[in-house]
Amino acid sequence: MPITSPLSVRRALPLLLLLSALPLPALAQAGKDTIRLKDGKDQTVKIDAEEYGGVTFTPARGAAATAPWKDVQSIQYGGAPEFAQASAAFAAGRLAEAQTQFEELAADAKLRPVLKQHALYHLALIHLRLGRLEEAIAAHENLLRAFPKGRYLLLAGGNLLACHLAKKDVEGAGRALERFTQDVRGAGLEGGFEAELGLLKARLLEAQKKFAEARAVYEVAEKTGASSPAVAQEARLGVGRCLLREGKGADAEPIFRGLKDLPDAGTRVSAGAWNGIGDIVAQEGREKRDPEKLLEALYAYLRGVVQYRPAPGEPTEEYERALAGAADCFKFISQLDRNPERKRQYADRSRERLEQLKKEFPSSPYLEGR
Amino acid sequence: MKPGLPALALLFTLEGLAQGPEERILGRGDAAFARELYRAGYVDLAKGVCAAIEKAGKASPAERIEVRALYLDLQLDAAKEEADPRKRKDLVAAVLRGKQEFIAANPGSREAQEAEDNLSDVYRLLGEVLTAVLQKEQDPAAAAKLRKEGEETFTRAADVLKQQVAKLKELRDDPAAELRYMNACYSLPRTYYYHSLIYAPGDIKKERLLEEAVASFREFGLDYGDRMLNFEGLVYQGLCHRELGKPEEALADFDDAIRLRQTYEQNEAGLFSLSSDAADVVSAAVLQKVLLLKDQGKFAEAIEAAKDYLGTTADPLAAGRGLAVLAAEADCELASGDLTGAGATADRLVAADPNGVWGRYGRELQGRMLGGGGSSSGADPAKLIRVAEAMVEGGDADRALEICGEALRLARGSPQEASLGSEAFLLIGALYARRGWLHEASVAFDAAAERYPTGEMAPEGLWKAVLCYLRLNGQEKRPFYKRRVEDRMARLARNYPNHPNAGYAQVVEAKQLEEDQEYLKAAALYEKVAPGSSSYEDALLGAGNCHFQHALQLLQEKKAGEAKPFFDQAEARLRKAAAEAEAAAEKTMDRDAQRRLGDVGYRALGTLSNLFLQDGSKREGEVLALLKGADERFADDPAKLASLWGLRIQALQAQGKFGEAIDLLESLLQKNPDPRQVAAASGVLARSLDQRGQDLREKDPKSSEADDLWRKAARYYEASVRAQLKGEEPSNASLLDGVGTRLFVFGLHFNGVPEDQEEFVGWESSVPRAPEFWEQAGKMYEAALTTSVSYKTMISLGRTHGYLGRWREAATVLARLFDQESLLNPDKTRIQNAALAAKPELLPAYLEWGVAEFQVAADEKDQERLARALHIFEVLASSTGGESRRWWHAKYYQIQCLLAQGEYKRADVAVRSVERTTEDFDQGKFGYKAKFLQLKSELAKKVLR
Repeated sequence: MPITSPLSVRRALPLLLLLSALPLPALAQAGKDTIRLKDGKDQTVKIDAEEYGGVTFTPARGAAATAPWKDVQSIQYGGAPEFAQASAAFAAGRLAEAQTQFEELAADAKLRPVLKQHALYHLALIHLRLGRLEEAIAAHENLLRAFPKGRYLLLAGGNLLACHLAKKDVEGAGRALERFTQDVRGAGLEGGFEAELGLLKARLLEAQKKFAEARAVYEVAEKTGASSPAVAQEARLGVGRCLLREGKGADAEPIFRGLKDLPDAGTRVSAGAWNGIGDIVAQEGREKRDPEKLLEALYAYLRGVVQYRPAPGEPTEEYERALAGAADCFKFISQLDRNPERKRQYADRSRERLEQLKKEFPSSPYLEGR
Repeated sequence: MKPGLPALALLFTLEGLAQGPEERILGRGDAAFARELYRAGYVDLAKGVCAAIEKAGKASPAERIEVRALYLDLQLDAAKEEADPRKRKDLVAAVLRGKQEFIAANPGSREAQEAEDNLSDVYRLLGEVLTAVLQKEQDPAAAAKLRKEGEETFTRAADVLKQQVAKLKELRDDPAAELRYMNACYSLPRTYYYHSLIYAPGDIKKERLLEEAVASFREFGLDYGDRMLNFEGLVYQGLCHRELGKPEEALADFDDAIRLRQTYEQNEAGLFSLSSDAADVVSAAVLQKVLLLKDQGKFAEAIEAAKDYLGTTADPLAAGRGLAVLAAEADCELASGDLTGAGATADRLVAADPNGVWGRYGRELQGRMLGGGGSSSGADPAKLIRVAEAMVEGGDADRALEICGEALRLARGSPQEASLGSEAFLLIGALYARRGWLHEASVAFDAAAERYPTGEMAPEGLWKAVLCYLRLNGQEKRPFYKRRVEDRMARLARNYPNHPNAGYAQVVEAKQLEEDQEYLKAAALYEKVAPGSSSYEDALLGAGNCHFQHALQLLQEKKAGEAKPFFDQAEARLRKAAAEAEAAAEKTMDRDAQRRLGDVGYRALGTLSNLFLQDGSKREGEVLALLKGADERFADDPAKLASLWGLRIQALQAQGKFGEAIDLLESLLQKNPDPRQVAAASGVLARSLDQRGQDLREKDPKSSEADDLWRKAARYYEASVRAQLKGEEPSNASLLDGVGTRLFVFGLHFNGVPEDQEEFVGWESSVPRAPEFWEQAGKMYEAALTTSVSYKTMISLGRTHGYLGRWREAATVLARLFDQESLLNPDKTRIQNAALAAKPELLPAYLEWGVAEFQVAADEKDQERLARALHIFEVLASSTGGESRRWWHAKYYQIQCLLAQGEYKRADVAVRSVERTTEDFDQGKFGYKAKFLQLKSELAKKVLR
């Protein structure tokens, strides 16, 4: 028998009953992970470790195995909702929120080491993205101490170098690289890490504007890293970049054009190659005051913005460079145009792209002087 | 379906409004009718009837009381909808005051008695929102202030209820009084519960209130165990136990409340068929149970409780908290690591509430599941693309872009890579195109075809790239774009000959000529397309457009006679295009083709309407007839409907039927359609009213007619962007900023701000008399800033807050602005001339920031803010010219800061320095002479010389 309603006119039911956003309880620490290798098949496994050389996992049946990173398509961590939330916040650019969540994860003594490594890396990356360079250096060093053979080893080394260079501390960068190199060599790693160390050394030289020396190191890295196409392509890109900076655009251009057409190139290499082409064509457009050329350059830069956008956690230098290059092209076209409406339109477009760069990377080196 | 809706809706149809809404709607018992509408949930219709009663002006005194009471309830509903807790608190407090005044002004009336009985609900709402604000408040001083406000509010509420209980206890023989007594007895412990929430855990006051609430709810249960209110009370009792740290007792309370369903019969499928009130109570109890179990980490039990409710209740999601229960289930599944279950539940949430808050939450959950670490945890790229599409719908374009990127990475190497890759890039292109970034859009569309030439959507990518380049070429006329159009078109024809647009080469060539304004050549080319060709209807439309454009050119050259035959030819072709497109659409089942043909028909009608609206054509009257039936034809496309309504209103305006245009729009608004559908029409009318108002004001600055026009314009401006403000449409930052600025200007006018006043500094009015314009402008600026970080919009928002006296908000926005804009030199002591030359608007904004910081600091005795404000004024005083208005502002506030810091000697020196270095201060030019003399005399009492 239904119960009669009491009086009250459209009585607001007291149903705004606090859908409280209480913190989630402690994680279910052990979960089933899923790994997908390049064959496209998912396997339910337990991820044991993620190191420079590859991921080690134990399948439901059978013995533990290690797969090199080039063979891994994706990994899904079971029973790790807070980690998933933190990663999603990071991917969505909500860095303050992601920082809090990663800090909580990193402080959890019971957190699986595999996830702890991710948490430490992302924390370091957040500091770097936000321009907190001292904190970023400390966080990267912390990561390298905790995981001296970890999956992020070389990326962390590169970021460490970038932090010192962003501080305009070339000497500090040199010392950090030297220390890092010693640590890597002493860690007993397998695989072609020497070529990757070469890339870092060349980057340091490039930052010091020693382009010829840098190019020579890149060339060595390209040869020694031949067994790893990704390293070889990265080195080749460095060669092209140095040639360009040495004023040898004609020699650099075929390198960039060759790299941009490689089907297996990573997003960073593809974006870098298009940025190189953008630099060459933009230079020509500026010299000839030719808006058609500048448009061509703009479209080259936009490849790095739209088509070869980095994944969350990947280096963003080429993406930032592409955004800045696109903003410059819009600005130059605006300066050349005589039609007041189009002039304003292009100036607005330039400003919008710069604002996007500022919003996504407030401490980007490409914002300097703008 | 809600009862009686069709009949009620009929009252508001267009035809019915012809004689004026009030005459048509009103009869006997109108106020009671409005109340019934409100009770039935037809809030907008109730508002309509109230408005009609007021407009007709024939209501009896009793009816006026009824309408006033209803208005207060409507205001309360509106307050509940306010998303910002601080604003919501102020709105609810205003309603509370209104109700108290109403009760005092109408003693003995039924409405006053009802208002009194329900006053505790308003107190409860106020308490809830106070609690929400308190939880977010970081500043201890502000929190203490809020807590005091809450304490006073709840104590007053409890006192009122205790008096009611005492008074009604004696009258319980009367059934009506008995009901009121029960309601008051129930409300009292509920008030204790909300009161307890303002105290921190462990506070003795909190525990006492909670224990008192539990005891009272138990007593209530003994007296009214068979009443619905008792079951609601059990939910609160459970919440009290939870707050007291007694989860087991809380769970028992929730279970007791859930048992309410057992008093209802089960249908044939074994599901409980609950009344809507009972379903609300049961769903609330289940929700609290699930949340508590989740909090305890008992995810499996929580999921089971949710599933039990969802699986044993008829129409479970329709209940008040049904969707919240589903969301809580998804949360628990996610927390327990059951991503498959969480994904399915989130999908269900999105499907059940696609455009609502829970649908958005479902998409957020879907998004949350995508951040698994080194790579995505979603793992299915096809599903990711669907999620990205859902996020686009939800307005989260940035996240959608990220997810598309993730889908591309995951698809790499899979057999579906080409198909999914081309689809993802198509979506990325559409996202950029929506933002108006056509260069990026064309790159994405190109990538769909270049990178994945075998993908299903590759040809569509090429076609969309062609359209992008065509548009860019139309805007800029550059060979670069033309070459790209030709190249993409050739590739489409060569590589994808079966694509429906592959045969469009001829049309594209004509389009190029059209973009180059070679209209007659373009028309000739369009007319070569034979009937039966896939592009025939488009070609007819193109030919019509070209003839029309050519005629317009001739008209501009004052060759009206020569233009006439081209207008005629345009009309003939456009009519034919519309008819052929409609006929062809009926003959095909292909949805893409139907969409394309629909688009042709719509554009033909639009151009024909514009043709009729040409100055001197005298055919404006034909527009309404032309567009008859168009609403049904384009019912599923709000953007098209909106534009068609805009044309209708333009037509009426052009005929001088301004009143009819307003009535037409009002009828559209009254019908409460999708706000997206009224946007364009409202915008057209708003701009027109605004312009008429400006014209009148130029002739007579005090014109009251101009005031009326601007007030109406403000209303329609708001309607024109309402869909964007509600998040039902992507934000168009420049439109929102533009409309916001008009409302800001209206605010300046209606609040009597002098014409030469730019910044709020120096405007001395304690309370704005017409704050509503600025409040709306503020909302628009805020919405604009969600998609664009324009410094100008930030300045406007900060200024708007300042004019409203919302110092804290103004200071926050302006602090953010100067966080991203470098105005000062590296040692932060002076303003950089170069920065100021590039963005001169920053100077007044900097001054406004200082004043906003000063006001907050003064209110809250915040020394840090005071120091910040002082620094700003010092910089300004040293950087601006000695005799400028801004220098005087800065100097005056600099001294005020010193006074507030207790630095009387420094303040005294500063005043005397100004006196010495100026000739009689500002000689009253900016109103500072008197102020400085006042300062001097104040300081004379504090500084001993």
